[in-house]
Amino acid sequence: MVLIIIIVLALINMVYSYEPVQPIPQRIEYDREKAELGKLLFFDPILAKDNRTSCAYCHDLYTKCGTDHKPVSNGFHDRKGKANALTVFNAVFNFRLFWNGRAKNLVEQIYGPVQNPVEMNMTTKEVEERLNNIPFYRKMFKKVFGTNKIKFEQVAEAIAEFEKALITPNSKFDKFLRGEIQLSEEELEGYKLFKKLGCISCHNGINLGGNSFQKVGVLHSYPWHEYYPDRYQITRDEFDKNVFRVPSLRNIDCTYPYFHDGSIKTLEDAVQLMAYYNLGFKLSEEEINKIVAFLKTLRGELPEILKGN
Amino acid sequence: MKKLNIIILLAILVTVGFIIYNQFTRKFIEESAHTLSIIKDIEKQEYKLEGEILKSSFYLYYNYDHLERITKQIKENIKKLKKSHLKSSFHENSYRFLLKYEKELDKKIKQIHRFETVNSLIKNSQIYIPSLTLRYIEIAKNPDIDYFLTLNRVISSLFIIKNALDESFMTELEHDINLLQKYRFDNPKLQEFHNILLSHLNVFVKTFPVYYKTLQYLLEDETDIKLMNQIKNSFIKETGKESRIITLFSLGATGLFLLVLGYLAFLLVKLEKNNKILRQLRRNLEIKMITDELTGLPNRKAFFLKETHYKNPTFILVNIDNFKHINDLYGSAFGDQLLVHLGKFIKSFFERERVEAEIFRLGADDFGILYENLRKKTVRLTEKLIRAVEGHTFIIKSKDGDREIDIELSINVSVGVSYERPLLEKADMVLKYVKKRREKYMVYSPELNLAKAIEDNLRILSIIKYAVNNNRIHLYYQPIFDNKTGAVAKYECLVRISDQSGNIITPMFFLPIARESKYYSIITKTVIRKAFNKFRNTDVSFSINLSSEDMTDKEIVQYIYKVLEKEPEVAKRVTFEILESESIKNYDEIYMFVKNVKSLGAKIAIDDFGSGYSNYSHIVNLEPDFIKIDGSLIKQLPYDIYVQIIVSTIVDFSRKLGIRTVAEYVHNEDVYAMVKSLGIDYSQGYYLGKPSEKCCIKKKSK
Repeated sequence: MVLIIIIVLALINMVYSYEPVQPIPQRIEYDREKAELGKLLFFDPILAKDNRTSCAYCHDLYTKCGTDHKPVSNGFHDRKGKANALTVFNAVFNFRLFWNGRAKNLVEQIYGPVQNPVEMNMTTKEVEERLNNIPFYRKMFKKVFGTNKIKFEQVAEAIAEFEKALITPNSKFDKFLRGEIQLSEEELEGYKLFKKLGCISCHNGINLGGNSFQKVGVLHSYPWHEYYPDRYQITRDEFDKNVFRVPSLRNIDCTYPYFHDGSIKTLEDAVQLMAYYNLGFKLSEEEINKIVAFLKTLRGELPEILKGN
Repeated sequence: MKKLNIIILLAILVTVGFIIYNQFTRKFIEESAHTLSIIKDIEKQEYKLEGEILKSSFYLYYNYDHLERITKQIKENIKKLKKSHLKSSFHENSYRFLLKYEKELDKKIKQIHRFETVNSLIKNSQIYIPSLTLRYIEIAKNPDIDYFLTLNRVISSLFIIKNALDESFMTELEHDINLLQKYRFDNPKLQEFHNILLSHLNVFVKTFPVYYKTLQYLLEDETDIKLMNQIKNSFIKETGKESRIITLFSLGATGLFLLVLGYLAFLLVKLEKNNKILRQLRRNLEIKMITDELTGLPNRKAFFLKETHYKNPTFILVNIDNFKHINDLYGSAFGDQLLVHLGKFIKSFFERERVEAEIFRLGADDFGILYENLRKKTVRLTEKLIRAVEGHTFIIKSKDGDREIDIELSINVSVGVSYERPLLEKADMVLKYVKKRREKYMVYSPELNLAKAIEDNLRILSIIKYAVNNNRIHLYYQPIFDNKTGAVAKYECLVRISDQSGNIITPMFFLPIARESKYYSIITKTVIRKAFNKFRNTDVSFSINLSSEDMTDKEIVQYIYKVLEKEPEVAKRVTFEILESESIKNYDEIYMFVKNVKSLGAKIAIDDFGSGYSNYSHIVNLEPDFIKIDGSLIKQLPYDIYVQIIVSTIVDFSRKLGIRTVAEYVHNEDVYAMVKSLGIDYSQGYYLGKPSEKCCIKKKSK
């Protein structure tokens, strides 16, 4: 599966080698049966101790582009989390997951929220027990994995397979990259500004981000808190304070609020603040409008697996 | 057998070994090639990665996805390598290198991530700073030339440092930055511009060393590439070692295989040798089985084998007369020698005659001669053979004490000839008749078959009984001719009996049996009665055979006396042919009988004189009227000078004694001529007249 993605990426890379951004592939190979099982699990609060906090509780797929539109999520019994919930859309294209990139792939990521005391607050054992008690799941897992006993690795694998399917192709910008349509003048100028101002140096690749660790607050320092899920938490290197995995700009207009702490409510503010912290100066209103206009072209279609039911 | 089983087992094992070896080798080659190709892939990807890093540092914008993609590919390949042939115990070294490499790669990836961060930071400033000069002039109403120049120098240094990766310009840059830091502007816009500029320069100066160090490490440090190279080299080396072991195994297996093959070949050769010996033995045995050990001639068994190949066979069975006596007299070793000589003699005889014949030794003193066709020649050949054998003097070496002496010996043989199958059986039958009839040879004919059928004593006895009771005793008459006149002088009465189906049986077959029975005297008396009846009313002379048993049988003697006394006319014409035999114990009785019948007018003839028990002394006492010279002598008369002498001697003394002579068995012209020339008075034989039931007897003319 990974290999296919790599090949797909490689092909895209050949075509768009001069562009620092690549369109999302219109189709991605995945195991439909497994993904459908993952979908069931994604929406099932059985995975949470409080029987309420399903994955979808914080990653609203249908209306909130895989986020919850809250600065930080309400997890287990509405306890507040420490970071803004990242979208699950196009997560498969990110080189690492979580704000500090502590998970190397989707499967690894699943282990996080399930066991987080402020999120689902479960142990993998508990999840297994619960699922094994439900004949329906036993049947489904047997069908997909051919085993009689459900294991957490299988749960993670199924959900990851579902998440893999959550890609949002055919955004206006992708269509533009593919040469199918023209951007409006404002949007195009926004894109040029985006490159000219250096946004592109961090927000590049298929997800316009998600492929490197970068610092927020280069020229003007961004307030730092110990609990921030930054690289410092992992490396304990001073350099890594406020260094995060660059968030993707795909569907950015519908994944507010912004920044790792969810403190920024509007896209305009987010753009302005990014310029302030990392470029050192403020952008004019015109510049912001242009960039925002460009960013809005990154809104893709609802993932295919979500359509129809 | 046990050895063979082991060899077969070994062969199977070796074959299985080869199959396993083949599979293993193929798998080994495939896996090694696969592993090596992954290693080479990683090497290529390493160089690609280096190129991508260079690109990311060079281009103003870059897509970090590329770097991520390649590192992911390398990681995938490492995973593959871990599962590949590399995990076998042969490649422990390479595997250790691989683990080291993986660690090194992880370190490198971390450095790449760090590089991405600093790269972006530096580029951010790099994009921004050059546009500043323009912006300065835009914002500043009265540009400060010094500030402007310093700004330009800073930009220039920045470019050299960044693009030439030359840190030596850093001091210059820092010096200019120090200069710039001293500037203060009243214009808040300009001051803001100045502050941002300084911040950017600060970011650059702070970040560049890390950037430089990281890039230096990523491009210059070759630890991972070297490790990869080490993996490759050690893998190739280990594979070489492995393949040497495999080759060694194959050599061993091949050696074992050849050994097994060689041993098999050895066994085969041995087997073939044994077979050869066995075949030779069998052939010898076969030859032995069909060869007579003594004479070296093919034996009875051989005869039965060969005989079937003939289409028109002639079979001559030769038997030595009285061989038993020879053996008794000289010993069986002597007899054996005689047999050897005879065998050789017969063989050389046929060679001389140019007849392609096979000679067999069929039994004790039975020799068989078998040849194809030539039936017309057979009688002549047989006669010649008999003469040759009987005329040959066999010289047999014998031992008398320590001295070796040569004994000269002549033998007589009897011969049976058959053209019909079963050859031996028929010839043997013929031979028996020949012996009985004191002939030299006979050729088988179907009549003999009949005779054979009635040879059975009991059967003959029953026939005799039947013949006696049913008046089946017949007389046959054979004429005896006067040699001077050529007219019939008299008839010899010969007895015959017939069985139920009317077959005529000669006395040869029934008389010996009849003699032992109560019917004998009846037969004799019947013969006499019938002869008298036949010749009573004639003036023809006739003769009747009497055996010594007849002449000593009182009943018969009395009967004869009575008949002769009763019919003196007929008695004058009757001649009694008497046969001497060894069974005569009391000659006085014979003399008496002879004297009495003579006194009654009958005449006496001595039958078969010159053979067997002829005794000259008796001639004086018997005073016979006739002497019938034995057929065996007469038959040979024209061919044998000795026989001629003997016969002429007999004729001579007979004449002197006033006894007339009769020649029997005159069976051809030659014999008849000789008989006449020797002065024999009468002749009798098939040439002149065969025995017949009806004879032309002249009526007595009164």
